[in-house]
Amino acid sequence: MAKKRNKQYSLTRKQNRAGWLFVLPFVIGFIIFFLKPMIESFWYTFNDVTMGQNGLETKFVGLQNFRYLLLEDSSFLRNLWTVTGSMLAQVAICTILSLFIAIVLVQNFRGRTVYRAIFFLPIIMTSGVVYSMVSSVVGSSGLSGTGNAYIYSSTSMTTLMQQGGLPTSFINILTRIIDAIFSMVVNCGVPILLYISGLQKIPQSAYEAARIEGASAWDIFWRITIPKISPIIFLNVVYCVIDASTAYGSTAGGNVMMAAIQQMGFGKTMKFGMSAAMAWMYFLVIAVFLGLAYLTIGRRAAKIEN
Amino acid sequence: MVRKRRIIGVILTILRHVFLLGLCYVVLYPVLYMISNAFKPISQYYDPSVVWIPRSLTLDNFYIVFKVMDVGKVFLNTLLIEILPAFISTFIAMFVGYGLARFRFKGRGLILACVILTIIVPPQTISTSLYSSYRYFDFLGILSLLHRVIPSIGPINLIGTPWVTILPALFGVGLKNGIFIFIFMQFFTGLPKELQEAAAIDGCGPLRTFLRIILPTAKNIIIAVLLLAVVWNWNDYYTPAMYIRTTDTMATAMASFQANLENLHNMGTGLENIQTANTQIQAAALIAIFPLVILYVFLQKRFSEGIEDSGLTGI
Repeated sequence: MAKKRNKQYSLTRKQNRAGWLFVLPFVIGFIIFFLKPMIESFWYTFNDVTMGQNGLETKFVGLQNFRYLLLEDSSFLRNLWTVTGSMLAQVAICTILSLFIAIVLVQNFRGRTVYRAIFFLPIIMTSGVVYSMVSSVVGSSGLSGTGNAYIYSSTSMTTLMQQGGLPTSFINILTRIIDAIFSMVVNCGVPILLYISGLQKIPQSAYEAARIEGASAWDIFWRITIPKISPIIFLNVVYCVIDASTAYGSTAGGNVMMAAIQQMGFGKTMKFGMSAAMAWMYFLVIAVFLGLAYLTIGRRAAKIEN
Repeated sequence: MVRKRRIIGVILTILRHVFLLGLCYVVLYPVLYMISNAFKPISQYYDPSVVWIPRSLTLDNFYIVFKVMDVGKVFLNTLLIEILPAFISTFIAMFVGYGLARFRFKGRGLILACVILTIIVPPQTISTSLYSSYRYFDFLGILSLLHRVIPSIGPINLIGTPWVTILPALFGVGLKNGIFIFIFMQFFTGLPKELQEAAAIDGCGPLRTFLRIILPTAKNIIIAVLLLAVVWNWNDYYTPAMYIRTTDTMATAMASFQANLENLHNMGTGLENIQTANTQIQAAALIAIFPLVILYVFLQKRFSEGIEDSGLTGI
């Protein structure tokens, strides 16, 4: 008996040791490159931080930074509002549109591999400067809503429509819609991928059983497909929130918050404390969204999985 | 009844293709636009009768791009600053993911929570203090301790060196590394436990088991993660702009390309002027994404297979 317990004990110890060995690099990295900076930057939000001889020098100012940003700075709340708005729109559209596309792509038909290859193509273009460069020239600023948004105007389509006698206002609306479609579809690469892999794992027997019971396609979608893939819906919402919140942006467009935080700390002003306060408030907003997503979708998904 | 169903089937097929082709057009438009304009003489850019296919091809645009931007050097910089860390972080994420998936060690839940925290906290939140710790880099205080013994050694300045991307990658906290760890963890959790147990009975240690038995089953998922890592690192603007500054990677070079181009043309700023140089901008963009497109064309199939059998979606 004692021997057995001893053996079990050594087994758990072995498991312990091996497990820690495997995750050790991450633990060290997490402490040096994440936890320490995170705590420090939280401390900076209450300080006036300047670059000194041997590192940063701090001077405690209490809630001064937050007070300035929320009450006196005119651009901070506006930027936060813009970014949050476009983030919400992107998340909502992305999760729904990519589910729709994934359902079409997962069916068995000729040419679907070609379609898939094309739809995943944006994965290599979206997360970058090139995307913003191309889209600013092509003219798509889409959901972010800043000017020069007439995307396909360089093609003959609009001229053709004008000559065909359609009113200009109508054409403008049309080009705007197409423009918005562009920025939506381009963000859907990874979500489509995740949905497809989830949809393929739903057992066919579940569908067959439902069909035998006489359920309509509508019922099957809401009663079987949606509950079965709800963990992926949650995963996609989280992915889209993170993707949108860390997207590239300059002060002119894109994710203005990213650029504003960098400008405040590392532009002309060098106000590190203020920059940290901005970043933390931005993070809090994102965390609230992720929390809401967890409460509405994630918890239910976890329940279904069990 | 049968006939009616067949008609509905045909209509659905047509609708499906119309829908998909429309979206394909939207996705491919910028790429085609880029290719079409990059090889177009600038005079034809303004010629309304030339839309997609230029009447004559030219490499002038690329010539100007090479003049504005030292493409070869930028490319090498990007390899060192972005692509090397991409490989390192994939490699490290494999180990961490396996450790989290396969060993019920004490503190596993805590580590997992830490991984998720690194995913959801935006990099700006910690950038200020990370900057100062790179500026006076002191490996857990070890370098300061050494300083007391050997005065010539002290905290080092990592700002502007490739170490700011390589070091975090080595320790599993590089760009989007948390996501990679998560993907690997899901994949390894889905593998049958028997593999590991059989190897253990044969006297294989955990590390040998992992390298010899587990890794060969993970080829597709490794390729998938590697592709994501390379792409995300290649396109990453924030890290090099923040911590490197003086050396251009592809992303930062692209960001400043327009301004540099305008300097060359000695133009003011404004939309019309950007339009003037549009063919050159498209040529630069084409150069920037070309390696990624090639990579994607070759790996696309394995990539989607990899994600599909990753169990990432956990049902």
